[in-house]
Order: sequence, then structure tokens, then C-alpha cells
Amino acid sequence: MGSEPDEGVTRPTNVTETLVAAGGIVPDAFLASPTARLGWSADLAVTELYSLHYRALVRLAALLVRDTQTAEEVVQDSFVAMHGGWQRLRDAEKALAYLRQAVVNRSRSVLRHRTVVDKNMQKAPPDMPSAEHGALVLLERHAVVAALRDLPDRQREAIVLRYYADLSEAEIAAAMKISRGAVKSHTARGISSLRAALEQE
Amino acid sequence: MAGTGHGPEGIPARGRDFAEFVRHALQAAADQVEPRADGLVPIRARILAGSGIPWPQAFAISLNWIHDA
Repeated sequence: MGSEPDEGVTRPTNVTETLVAAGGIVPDAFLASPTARLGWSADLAVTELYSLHYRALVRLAALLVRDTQTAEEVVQDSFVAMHGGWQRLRDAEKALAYLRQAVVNRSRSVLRHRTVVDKNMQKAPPDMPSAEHGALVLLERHAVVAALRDLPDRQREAIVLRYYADLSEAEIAAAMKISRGAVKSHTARGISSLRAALEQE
Repeated sequence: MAGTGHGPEGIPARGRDFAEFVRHALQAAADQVEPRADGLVPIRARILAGSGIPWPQAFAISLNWIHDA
């Protein structure tokens, strides 16, 4: 990890080996092409970053979206996008930063969509708790997590990235696509709001 | 909630203690989240499907690859 992938190596990935074994659907010309070598690097990056960071990224997303299944979908989407953007990234550190940014963006989109759905569902009668609801309750047993829910998106993201993911200000700024000054501001306001909310309980 | 006992409900009143309280609470909450073990399968399948392989075949290939690895 952390070094440039070796583009000179044409050894097929496990995926491409499987493709060949499954019926030769990857022609030899493809395996020898620069595109295939790039594909090899992207496959390897996905596998290695998955084994190193998937769980932590899902947990990060779960703190933002408040349910495990959605968190997994958010992170899986992010890995697929990272694979697609590997030609630009080509570096494990950049790829991890990209994954964090994608997770934060997609989590924000999920929450925005959920707000719209919730507004439309307000008149529906209460039903049996869903699996999602169960996961949400599990997380919100933690008063801090429950209080996080009421923070503005940016403050919630800054708090989770700082205090769960333990990222530096620069890393948080990159993940949220904001300045370091804005990170400081969102973090300070978030902590202040959390404290106020918890003291009211 | 576990706290250090400085404020209401054991919540530290301010400063670094409160930040540590938040850190521990988030860590404890996150530790309860356990992703499914086969998360790489749908990722691989979607990558393969995106390159034109039909979805059922992409999924089967990804599943076999994970189990053979």
C-alpha cells in the first residue's frame, strides 16, 4: 500500500483469472493492453483497500446515515466509483481520500433523500419496525449519536470525521471539500451544540 | 452512557474531557456496527457488470472468486 502500482506487471488478477476460467471471455489481447494493466491495478486497489478500510468506512457511514445496510450500500457505491476513477487516482493514499470523500457525499445525499421521503410518509400509519429502524435504535442508544442526528450536516460530518475517524483538519477538509478554517468552525460549533443537547437531557 | 462525572448525567462539562467523551461514545456506537462479510461480492459484481458482463454472470463470478480466494 502507499506506492504506485506496478504497471509493467501483466499477471492477471484473481478476477481476470476467474473470468478466463469461466469461459475465456477476456481475450488475450485485452490482457496485454494498457487498459488491462490499468484494470489490474484498479482491481488490486479495490481488494486491498476493501480489506484494510471497508469496516471502518461502513462504521463511519453508519454514524452519518444511522443504519448499517444503507451504510454498506454507500461504501460499496464509493468503491465502485473509486474503481472507475482509478486512472486518475493511481495511488492508495489518494484512493483512500477519494473513498472518504465519496462516503461523505453519498451519506449526505442519502440523508437529503430520506428527508424528502419522510416528509411524504408523514401521514402513513406506524408499521412494524423495519430492519433499518432496528439498526437505528441500536445506534441511538448512545446519547451522543442521538444528539448528532439533530446537528446540521456539516457539523455532524466534521464531528464524526474528527472524533470517530480521527482525521486531521487537512484530511477532514479534503473529505468535506471545504477549507481548514471551515472545518475548525464546524467542529467547534458541533461540539458546542452536542454539549448543549446532552446537558438538556 | 459512560462519562467522567463532571456534569449532568456524567457528561464532562467542557474542553478536552468533553471531546474525549464524544470520541469514546462514537467509538462505542461504531463498534456495534458489523458489516456483512461478503461486501466485496456486490462491489466486484457491479464493477464487472459495468464492463458489460450481464449482471447474473457478474454476480456468480464475483461470488466464486471470493469463495475461492
